[in-house]
Amino acid sequence: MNEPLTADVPAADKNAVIELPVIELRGVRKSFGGLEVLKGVDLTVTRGEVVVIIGPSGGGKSTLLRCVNLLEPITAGKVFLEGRDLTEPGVDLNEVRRQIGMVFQQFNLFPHLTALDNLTLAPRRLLRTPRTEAEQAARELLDRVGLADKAGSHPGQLSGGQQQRVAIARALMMAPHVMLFDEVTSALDPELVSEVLDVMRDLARSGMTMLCVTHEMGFARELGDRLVFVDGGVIAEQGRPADVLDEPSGERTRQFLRKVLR
Amino acid sequence: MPAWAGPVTRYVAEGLLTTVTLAAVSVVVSVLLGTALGALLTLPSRPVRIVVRAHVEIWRGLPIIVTLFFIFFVLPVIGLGFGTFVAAAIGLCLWGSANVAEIVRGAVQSVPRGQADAAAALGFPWPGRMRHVIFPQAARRVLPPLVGLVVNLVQQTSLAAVIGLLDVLQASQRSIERLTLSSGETHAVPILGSVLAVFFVICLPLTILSRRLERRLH
Repeated sequence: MNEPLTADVPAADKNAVIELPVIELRGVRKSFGGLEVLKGVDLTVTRGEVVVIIGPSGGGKSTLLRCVNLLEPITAGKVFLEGRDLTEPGVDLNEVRRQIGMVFQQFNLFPHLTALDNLTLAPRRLLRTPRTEAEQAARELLDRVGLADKAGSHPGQLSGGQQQRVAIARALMMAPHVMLFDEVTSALDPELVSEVLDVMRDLARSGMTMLCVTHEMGFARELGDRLVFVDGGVIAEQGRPADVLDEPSGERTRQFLRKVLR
Repeated sequence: MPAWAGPVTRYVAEGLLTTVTLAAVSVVVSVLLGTALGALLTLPSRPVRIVVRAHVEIWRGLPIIVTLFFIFFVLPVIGLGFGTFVAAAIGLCLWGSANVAEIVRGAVQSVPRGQADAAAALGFPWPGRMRHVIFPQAARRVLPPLVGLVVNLVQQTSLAAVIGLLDVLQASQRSIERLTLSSGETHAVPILGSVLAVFFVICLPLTILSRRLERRLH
């Protein structure tokens, strides 16, 4: 089905073949009732790319992210994951979502489960991974986000920063092909932001494809391969982070950056 | 001990057994049926919700005594006659299950939406989201109001006396009347007093349990 298209290509030419984008949005529109929040968005994310989405609140950033894994059903347009049209009838979205990790502003850890069980729930129930195997993988990931000693803690016993790191580890358990981050540091106390950004930096450097809605301009500048400015339901401007941040071409981008960078 | 105490106690104790049986049947059926109905109320399917919602609103909205009269006096007209115990049990189960359904629905919907989002994002289909993420959290929220409803249901069993069920209340009532007719004296205070004590003894621990559960939740 979705075998890499590079399979038939002689080894020497492999690098020359343009790989399918991990995520591609084409003319995506989304309305809530009569209110159109996304007014035709085209966005392509290639493998290993870190795309940072910024923009004023109410501009459609989070909705855009939620449309990528179709947590919000879209009104018009198409969404592709590695070349596969997710809006086709008959596509098993639950199966598709396993390949798209998502981290939320409010963490959304399962409060009735320990950190370890939060991580193992999906692999054990959805992939039928044996318990011992899942727990070993979970402990390794918890160690990677610096929380090896918190495996037995419930979310209520963890700080916001710790909860968010568990949430990132939970998403990574499904070995996703791309990670979506929805303002993951916005609900944190300022002193806890950096520990979460550290994990994201680590992830970006490991080559993970990432789509991040954020207000952290420093993060965008440091790790973003591309910065996308969303306003009024469309992509108003995009480019290399340094270019957009330092010399925005659009008036709306300028106004927005003047407010947030002050 | 007066001479009448022995026979009256035996008579009232039989009534108490009926009351306890009625309460037990009503509680068990109400909780099971109500949980199922409440779960149906959270289904994405609109027709299912409308049908269940209508059922719940009817039996929750009617005073239990009206339901009991309806079942006992009206249904026989169309050939559905029940004994007093069965009629009382049906009425209480309809009322109880409708209320349990509301409690369950409320608890499920009180689980923050982000929980279902997170489960969906991991790839859980709807039944898995409910089973592994929503229901375990809803179950804790259900317990305090559910125990409260059980107390209420136990108390409401005494309404069965109005359709003639020989429960603890009816038994004591008849004992008082008989004693008054035979001896000319009324013994309402000790007899009704013990009925009061019995209900108190059954319900108080449950009320305390409910309060404990509620405190643990917060």
